[in-house]
Amino acid sequence: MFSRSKAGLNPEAQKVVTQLSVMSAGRKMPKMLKLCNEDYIKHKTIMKAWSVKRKQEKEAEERSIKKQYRSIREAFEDLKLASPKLFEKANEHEYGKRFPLEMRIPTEYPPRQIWYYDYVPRKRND
Amino acid sequence: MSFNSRRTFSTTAAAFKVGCAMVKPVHHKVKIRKKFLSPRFPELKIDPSDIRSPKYKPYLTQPDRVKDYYHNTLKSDLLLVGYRHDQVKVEGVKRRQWDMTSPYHLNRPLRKPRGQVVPSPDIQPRDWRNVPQFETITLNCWVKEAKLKPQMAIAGSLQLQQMTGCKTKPIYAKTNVPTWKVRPGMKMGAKVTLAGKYASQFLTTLTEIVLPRIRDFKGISNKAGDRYGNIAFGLQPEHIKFFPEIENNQDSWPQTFGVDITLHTSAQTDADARILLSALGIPFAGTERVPKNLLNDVKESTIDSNVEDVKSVETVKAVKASEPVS
Amino acid sequence: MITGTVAEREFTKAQKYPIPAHRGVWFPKGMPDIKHGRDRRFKQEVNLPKEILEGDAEDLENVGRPISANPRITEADKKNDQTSLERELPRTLYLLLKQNGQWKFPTFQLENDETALNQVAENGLRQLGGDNINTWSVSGTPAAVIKYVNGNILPYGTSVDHEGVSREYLMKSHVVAGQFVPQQGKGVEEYKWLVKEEIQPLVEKPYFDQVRHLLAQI
Repeated sequence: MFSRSKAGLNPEAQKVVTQLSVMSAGRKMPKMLKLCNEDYIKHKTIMKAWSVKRKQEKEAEERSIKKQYRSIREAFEDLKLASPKLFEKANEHEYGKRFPLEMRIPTEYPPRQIWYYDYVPRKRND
Repeated sequence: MSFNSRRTFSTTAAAFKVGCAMVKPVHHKVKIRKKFLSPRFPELKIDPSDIRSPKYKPYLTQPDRVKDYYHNTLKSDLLLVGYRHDQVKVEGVKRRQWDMTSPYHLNRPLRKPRGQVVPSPDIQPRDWRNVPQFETITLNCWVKEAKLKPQMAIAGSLQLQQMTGCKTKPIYAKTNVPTWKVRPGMKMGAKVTLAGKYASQFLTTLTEIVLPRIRDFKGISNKAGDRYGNIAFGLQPEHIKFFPEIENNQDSWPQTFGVDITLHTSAQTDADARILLSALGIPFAGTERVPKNLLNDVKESTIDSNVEDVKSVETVKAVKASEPVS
Repeated sequence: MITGTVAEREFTKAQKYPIPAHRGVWFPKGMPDIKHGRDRRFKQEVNLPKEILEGDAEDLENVGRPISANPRITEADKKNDQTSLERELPRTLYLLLKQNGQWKFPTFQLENDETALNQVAENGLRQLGGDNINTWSVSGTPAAVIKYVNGNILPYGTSVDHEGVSREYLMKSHVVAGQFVPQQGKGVEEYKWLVKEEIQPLVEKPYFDQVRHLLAQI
């Protein structure tokens, strides 16, 4: 039988063997779950219901973004009639626009200071 | 030897065969998977999405805050930022016809596109379906020292696995450069492509822990990008030490290796991809150049301006601007 | 021979490793199935060394203090203080003002057509709510238009050939820092930071129907 013993190797080789064993997935495979029929049906039902729910949420989001798109179009059509000058200004391309770094990805729990109230605008030196 | 089987030049072999196929020709069209025919190994016939299958992998096991933030807030903002009224399709560079000055041009594959080897896709106007979305991250770790010490490639691979929590794939040298002692087939490091929760996790680690701690980091260059919405940048070996997985185990990492990171998005242009990534907390620095054909992508105005000017004086007074602040 | 760091050794000491199978030994819960020092039949239990968990959670100087999450329900939630920005942390809040006895998003008169719409909105907000608010205008693109004839809202998609149509364009901004402090003599009677469901009963129905799809569900 092949021995996994690392004794007798020089430290360099031993290090490589350790590194390879950390990466190899062979012995870290979790054991397969064995479900009884009742548990299996329970699992299937829950997963199905969940996937239906996710599908509904996805469709609702799609409807919402489509509506937003239509209302932007309507606003522009209207602005074009009302004021061509403002239309030109609103319709400029916005490449190079950046979101502010202060807008961060929300976290699960709030930080110690929830909101920064003492904002003072920087004075421009013209 | 029978009379019938004698082969003559006046007939063909086919004449002695049956006139029609014995097998119905479906075997060309329907792929037969032998595992379904055999009664052995019933568990291998179960679909991998079924929990009884040995290939089953649980999915969506935890909330993904990057994804949630995108769908709750960023998507509608990006639609507003990217929308231009009367925007038209910007044609990509396509393969060209031959000019037919030579008879050999007939049936030749089309000419290469002007200035590039492969054609580039058209850029469609912004729409509710093509709002840019963050997709995957690719990490590529090319270990230069691996050409003399092959075990370094393993260390680089392990480092990537430590940083991402995903299984890596080895990368090999492709060229033969005798002066650099590089030969094809040498293992030179590893790469890994992250998607879903692994990509979100890596992105948040990068933007919240690693990038803020790099002293001289101003931002990713605004010139980076492959023109089609994928932004790449590199991290130096000393920056890798800021990853918590490496930092908390410094004894095991006397040497770290630089990594090239590519952020893949579904944006059609790099400029759009940068707007999206800035929303996910990645800073950008330097001057940005947007190709001219992207700047003039709206239809020429069809309004007769003289008539409208008179009309607008009356209506503009009634125009108000209102603002929901969120 | 002692190997590993101090932390590693403390961690190893705190673990309860399973007993491997022996010939002639009866295991009441079945034969152990051990891989990498853990029994694969059961859920893995990781015991953290005791020292890490000791100490006061509030003591910020102590690096080894136990980790405790801040509550998601704040003081403002308990008091139902709708003027606070610290309420309903998981949700998107919108600023609503009561002007001329009517609840609405902040609304500003357009003086000329020299300034872009989003700039007008940004300037107007600072006139109503003071300079100490940091907002980021999302885009110059209007998110929607609401059309009025004689003070009544026209339904979505109505043609605009009517005489005397007045319009409201909705521009989106994010508040990043600072706060909205109503200024004297600007006509702001009240202000509230509200989520989508709270806006519905407050504003008029035709107005809400026009803006419903713009408001975030979460």
